[in-house]
Amino acid sequence: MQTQEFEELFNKYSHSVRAFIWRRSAGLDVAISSADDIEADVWSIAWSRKEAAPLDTEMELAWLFQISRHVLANHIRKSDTRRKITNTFHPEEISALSADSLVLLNEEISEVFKLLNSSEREVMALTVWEGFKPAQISVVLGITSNAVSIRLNKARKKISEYLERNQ
Amino acid sequence: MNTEDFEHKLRSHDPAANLAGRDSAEERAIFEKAISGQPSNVISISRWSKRRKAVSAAAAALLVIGVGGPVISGSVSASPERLVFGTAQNSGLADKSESRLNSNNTSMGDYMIGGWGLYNYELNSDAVVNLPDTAVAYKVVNISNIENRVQEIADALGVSELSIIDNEDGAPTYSTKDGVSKNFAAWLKDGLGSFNYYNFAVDPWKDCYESQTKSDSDVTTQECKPEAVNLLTANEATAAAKQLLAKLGFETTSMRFEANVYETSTEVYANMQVNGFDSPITFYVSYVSNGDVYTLSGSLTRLVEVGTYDLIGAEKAVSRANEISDRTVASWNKDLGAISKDADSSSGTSTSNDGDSSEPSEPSEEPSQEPSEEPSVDPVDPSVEPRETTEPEPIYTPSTIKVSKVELGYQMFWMQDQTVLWLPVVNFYGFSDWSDEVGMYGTIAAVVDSQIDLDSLYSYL
Repeated sequence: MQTQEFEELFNKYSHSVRAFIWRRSAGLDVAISSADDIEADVWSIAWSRKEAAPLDTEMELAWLFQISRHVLANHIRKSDTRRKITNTFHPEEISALSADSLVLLNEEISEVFKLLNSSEREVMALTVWEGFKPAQISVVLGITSNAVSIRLNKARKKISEYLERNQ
Repeated sequence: MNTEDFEHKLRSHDPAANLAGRDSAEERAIFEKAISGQPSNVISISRWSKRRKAVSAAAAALLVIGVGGPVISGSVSASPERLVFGTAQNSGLADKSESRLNSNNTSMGDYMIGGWGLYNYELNSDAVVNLPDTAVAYKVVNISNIENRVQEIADALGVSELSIIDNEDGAPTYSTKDGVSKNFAAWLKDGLGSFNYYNFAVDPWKDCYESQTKSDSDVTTQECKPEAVNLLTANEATAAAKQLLAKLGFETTSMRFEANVYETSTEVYANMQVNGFDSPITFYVSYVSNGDVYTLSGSLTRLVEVGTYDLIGAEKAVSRANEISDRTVASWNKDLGAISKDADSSSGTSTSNDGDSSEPSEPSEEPSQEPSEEPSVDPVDPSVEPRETTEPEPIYTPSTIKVSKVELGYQMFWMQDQTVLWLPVVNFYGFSDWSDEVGMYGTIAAVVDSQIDLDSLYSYL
């Protein structure tokens, strides 16, 4: 990949990467200013590994999100103000907004999200907010597409049961 | 409502839907930094300014900035100065424009909300009240000769070639020449002095992090489990931390130590006790395999008494908290209403890679108990129930907390004159409507009205 191609990649996905980090950093209580630093690191790594960028354009963004999750996790581990979780923090724990964060947006959504564990929340968020398919999500999370579908179904089943109970 | 409806509702509440566009120059700067080939773990000096703002603002809220020196009994006047509150924004340490939702989080919202939510408080008739009539207030200032102390600490940690960066606003001192193997930074803003050391060489997640940069599709996080060898026990880590802090020149006899053993490290938290309270004087040390120091951070500040203030009672504290809560809720609802309207005006397309590739999702090829569950992201899908464009406001209604105990605490505040004070506050404990366990549900400034500029307190929102 040449500089021009990378720039096209950057221009195409910059906002998406930023939105991805924004959604997760809010859930993790990362300072908003730090989100820009995280994004800068994501693109630095993407550039350094540009030869490994997927050829399939549909997977480009998934690849960038995969990097984003690792950078975000690394940031959390190193964050001076978050020492309580640093050394146990793992990329798998990154998920979209927590139930507590979501209560600011909508209480019902918050209640439903409380039913889901972090991996289910993340699969749900990638599906709904990022509009990803299981194959793309599998790249982001480093799991199989089948595992993604299972998690998604579990999440939807929990949501469905909750909604039935609370109709 | 079924799951599809729920997902549409979730989509319409995308927290990034209102994410503003970025300045093209900033956008360009990120791109150019990316292609400069700078290693990701070397942080440029230019970025520290913004980082410092974020860390400082967060620290002010979370009380994690410490003071690494003695508590000084100043000449306390009989009539202490009236307290005029400022904001992090006024002090140049936070930017309210960063986010509507987070605009409150840089100021009053931080200690009112505490990360939990906004509440209305009701004082139980049998509530336990543990509030004195008066309490001493403190000013947080840097230790003397802070730059020399920074150098001494860096030397003791083996950080070589420390470059002293003389930024006019007290931006950090930072070692760039050895940035890959060791990170060391110190913030010198008065009242916010602190340092941070990070040893990349012993980072237990280093290999995982590096493996992901290779972007091998078969390298998954699940496969990358750092190995922890000979981790220190809690007692061993506490003893080691005491020894390390003493070696760095900090007085440890008045500190409270707390250690926890985690999967890959043992972490020690140390806090300077002042009149029986956890002070902002805080240190963290983490040890990884074989007792290597992985991270160390701490304070380079001290406390100076500024006066003894009269304190409000429990009922007054509750009414003051409710007043501020009401104002904050009004502010939030105004913001959230705007966000909701913005989301509505974006015609339901607030998903799908933010418009980059928003083609409809295909039916899943994966085994699915609900084959039709893959959400459509087609903005004109006729089967999709229109989102509520006239959603009634207010959007957010605070929960009620039954207050069963109120007691004195302390918290840092930004003042109008740009200083940081550590002031007495009232902490609320009680029951929420979602938990049967007593929890801490909020904090409010405890000084009486006559010794506070109330307008500045409320405008802290």
